[in-house]
Amino acid sequence: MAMAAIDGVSVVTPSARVTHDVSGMSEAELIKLERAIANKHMGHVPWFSIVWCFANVAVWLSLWPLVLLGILPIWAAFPIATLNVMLCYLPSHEAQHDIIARPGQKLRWLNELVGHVSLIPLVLPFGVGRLTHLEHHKHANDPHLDPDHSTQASGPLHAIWKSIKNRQPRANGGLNSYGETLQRIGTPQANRAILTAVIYEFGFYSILFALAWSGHAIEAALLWWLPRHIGLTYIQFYLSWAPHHPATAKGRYRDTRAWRSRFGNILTMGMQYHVVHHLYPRIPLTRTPAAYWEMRPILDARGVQIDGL
Amino acid sequence: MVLKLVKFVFECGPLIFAVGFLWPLFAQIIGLADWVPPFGLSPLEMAFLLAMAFGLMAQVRGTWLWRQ
Repeated sequence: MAMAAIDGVSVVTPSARVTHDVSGMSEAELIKLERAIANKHMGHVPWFSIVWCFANVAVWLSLWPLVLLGILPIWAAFPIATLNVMLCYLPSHEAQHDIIARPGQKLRWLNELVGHVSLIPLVLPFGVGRLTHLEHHKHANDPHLDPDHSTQASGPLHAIWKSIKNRQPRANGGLNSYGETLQRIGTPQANRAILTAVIYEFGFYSILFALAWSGHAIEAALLWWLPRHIGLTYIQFYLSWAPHHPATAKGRYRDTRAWRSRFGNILTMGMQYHVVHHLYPRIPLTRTPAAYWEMRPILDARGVQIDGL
Repeated sequence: MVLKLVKFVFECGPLIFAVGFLWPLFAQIIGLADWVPPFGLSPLEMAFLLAMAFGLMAQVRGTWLWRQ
């Protein structure tokens, strides 16, 4: 470990990390430096997320023949399927922000493919995920306009309980509130997303029912239905509740926090550095830690909520 | 018309889920557990009663959970 500039703003960071002395910097200098750091980390194709997407879905799909043909016992397949659902959101999240390729770029088709394919185990249409997520960015922590605000909770157990509650038939929060958000957006794209969501729902339940009535109810429950519920809880906990907690403040440097989890960066899916994502959504997930450590003195000077990181 | 039908199906979600999924799921679990249902009911009949009990409860209360 090495001590970076002793100025009360800079931090102690491992010597490999780049850090900046921001003491005495003007507003314009701070934003210039912040943007320069962000620019360094943007514009890279996140190949790791692309491989992650296809490998994850391939493993999940392979579980079906393996289990139905009796090659893999269902008790072994269930945790793998659950892990697959937990892991399926983030590659699509990169695509939602056009990180793989923007409209008109050569790899745009791959961006859209990753966006769609990655979310299959979660049964979330890419169009719905993208539009509602961009609304979340636009209105983070706004009780009326942020589609993810319903995950706000007083603590971890309350967050888990709310995630489950929001998924009940007559609940208004969680995924149930996405329809309302799409109707409010009201564009042809949003209307198409609503239609796709209805088709996905019917498709999902038709497959579950067909499997169940053909003698594979337990397999359907443990490879898809229950993993999806566990995965959704996990995703909403780490991607929505934890990085925005207490989710009361609004504004560029107020609506998201940096935080240290006892479970580390991988088990929290990189969300400790979520503040960087909200500031610069086009920085790939795997680059947010490096960008964070470079930006940390600036974030500190800006008054970002930094909880132990 | 189609929109009304879709809305109706979503409103009846818990009952449809009970019939479409929970009923065969419970029947399969009863069979795997080698449980003999009471009152001379077959596993499929018992599973139907259980699934409908849960489904009706969720349909009426708007939640599958024990508390709101």
